[in-house]
Amino acid sequence: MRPILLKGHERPLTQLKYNKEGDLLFTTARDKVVNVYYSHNGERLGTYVGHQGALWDVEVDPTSTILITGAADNSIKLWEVRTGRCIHTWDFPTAVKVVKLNEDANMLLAVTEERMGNLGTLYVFPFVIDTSAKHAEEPIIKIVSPDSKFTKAGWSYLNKYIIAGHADGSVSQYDGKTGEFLKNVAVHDKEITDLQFAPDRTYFITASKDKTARILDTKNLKIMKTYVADAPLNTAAITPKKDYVILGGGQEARDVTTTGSRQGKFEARFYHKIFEDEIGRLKGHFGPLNHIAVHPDGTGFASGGEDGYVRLHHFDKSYFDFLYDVERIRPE
Amino acid sequence: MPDIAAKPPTSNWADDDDDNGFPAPLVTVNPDGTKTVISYRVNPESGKKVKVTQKIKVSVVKERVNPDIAERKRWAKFGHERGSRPGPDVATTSVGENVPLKLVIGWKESKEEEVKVPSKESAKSKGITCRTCGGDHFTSRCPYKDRLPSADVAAESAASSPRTGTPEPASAGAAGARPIKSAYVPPHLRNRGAAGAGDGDKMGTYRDRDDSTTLRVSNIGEDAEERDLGLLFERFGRIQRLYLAKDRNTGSSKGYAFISYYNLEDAKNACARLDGFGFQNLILRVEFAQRKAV
Repeated sequence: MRPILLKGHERPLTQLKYNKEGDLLFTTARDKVVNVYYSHNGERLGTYVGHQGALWDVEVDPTSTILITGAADNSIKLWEVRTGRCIHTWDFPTAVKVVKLNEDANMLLAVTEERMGNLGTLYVFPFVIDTSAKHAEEPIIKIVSPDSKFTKAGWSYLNKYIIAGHADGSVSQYDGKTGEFLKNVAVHDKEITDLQFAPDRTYFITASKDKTARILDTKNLKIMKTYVADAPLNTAAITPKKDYVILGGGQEARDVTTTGSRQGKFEARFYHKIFEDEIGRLKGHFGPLNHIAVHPDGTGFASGGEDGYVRLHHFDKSYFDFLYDVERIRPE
Repeated sequence: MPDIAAKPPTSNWADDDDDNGFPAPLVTVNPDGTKTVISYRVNPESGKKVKVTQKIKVSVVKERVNPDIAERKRWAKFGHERGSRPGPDVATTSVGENVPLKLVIGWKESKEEEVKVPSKESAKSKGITCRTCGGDHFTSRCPYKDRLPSADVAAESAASSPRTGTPEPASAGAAGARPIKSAYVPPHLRNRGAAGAGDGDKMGTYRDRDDSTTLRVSNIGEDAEERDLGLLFERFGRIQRLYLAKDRNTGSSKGYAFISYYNLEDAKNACARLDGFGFQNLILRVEFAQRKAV
């Protein structure tokens, strides 16, 4: 497999996002620009310039019309995907860590950082896919974080719940319509660093600094699977088409001198989703992996690292051919 | 006759090709859908007339693309890429080197085994021999240290196990793989004749190396690099060592190289196949390396 190296950023990558069809790949890093690439050949289509701080999250609507970015300059910006024009800005008291659209693209969820006396807060704004529309300034739901701040969040199937991960490793469930608190479950020992949903959003995977990733049921937050790695994890993704999960992480740069590990373990790890076994690793980055995004068709994935590179992979045939013995004898 | 009469009015001087009156290409459609085209031309090298028969199969590959994706492919570039030409720019996009992704059941275990095996081999090839029991570990680590105090006894037992009744250590050492225990052997002579890679020995010099799988390649071009040679020679097997002699001042190749394989078979194969092989406008000479007389 020959990856395509994308060098559009000068700082560590923070988030990668494929659009719905998977032909465009949006990347954000701690520098102030968003890049968009064609995923089939890695050609850069353009950049979205205007933020004043590091970018933390990126989201695109299902029609690839509007791009939403959350940044450390305390703002969310909406962009016209086609031209790179900024069409709206929401300002917040602190940095925006998460922006997520629901399945219908009529609600936008945002999570702000806990800082300078401001508690971490989860907002929900109404959203319309229209570049000329006026966007509501006031949120319809505002949830202030409990003791432990929100780190990641997302929408469940049918916009029924809002699922949020916390810095103490627990996962909360809120009602998607009213924002009412429903449930909190302790899942990890340390901070949750990533939370990605399966394509049908009935389950999701969490990655944590405690070196594990877990799959949870969206409805009752039951832990269904656990994947144990040997390094702190920054990201975890579920692959469509094949029953795998891809985990990424690695020893943090600041921990290199305090840990005895001989190498950083900066590899993408492939686990079988059902059997929880590690089935392979993919080398490449020379820094921890910050985010992994899988192509919506399951034909490839992109990984962004602390080293500032995005590596865009298209899977070989052997990836699709790999089967466990029990899978081979499965009746047609 | 009617043919000739009919020709002049249809063809004007522009159509008149200078291939001195070859017939027009004859196209026949075969029953399986392919076309056969027979044409004539003059071979520019030999100056002879040649009949060319081409069999053409036309296949149409239709690719269905989502109209949204097709539309997005035509978008103009913007932001920092405004005005850039279509196609990937080398400044932002490059192709990485090939990374293997092999999915295996029980990945972790297989990886650990791979790590273990070479360490065992290297211990053997280093030729460490216990003076107490003759095993391949250091004398101080010997588990039989207390039970077998004498080196001579151990030598005897080691010698008598493969052969019958030759208690004399000298003859046993000459026949067996292990060196004689009693006599001092200088470091550079130790592990003589051990099969396989002996180059792991720290004390070993070039003389110590097992050159049975080493090829001497000569008549290499000046511009050749080790990488090019590696690519050429690794087709025949795993390369243990590759050395290309280079001029100390200019850094260009001196025209000869030594290549050691792990397997003798590979070396033989490479020698047979690449001797006389055209490489960068010169013809390679490949032979098994001869040890220089000491």
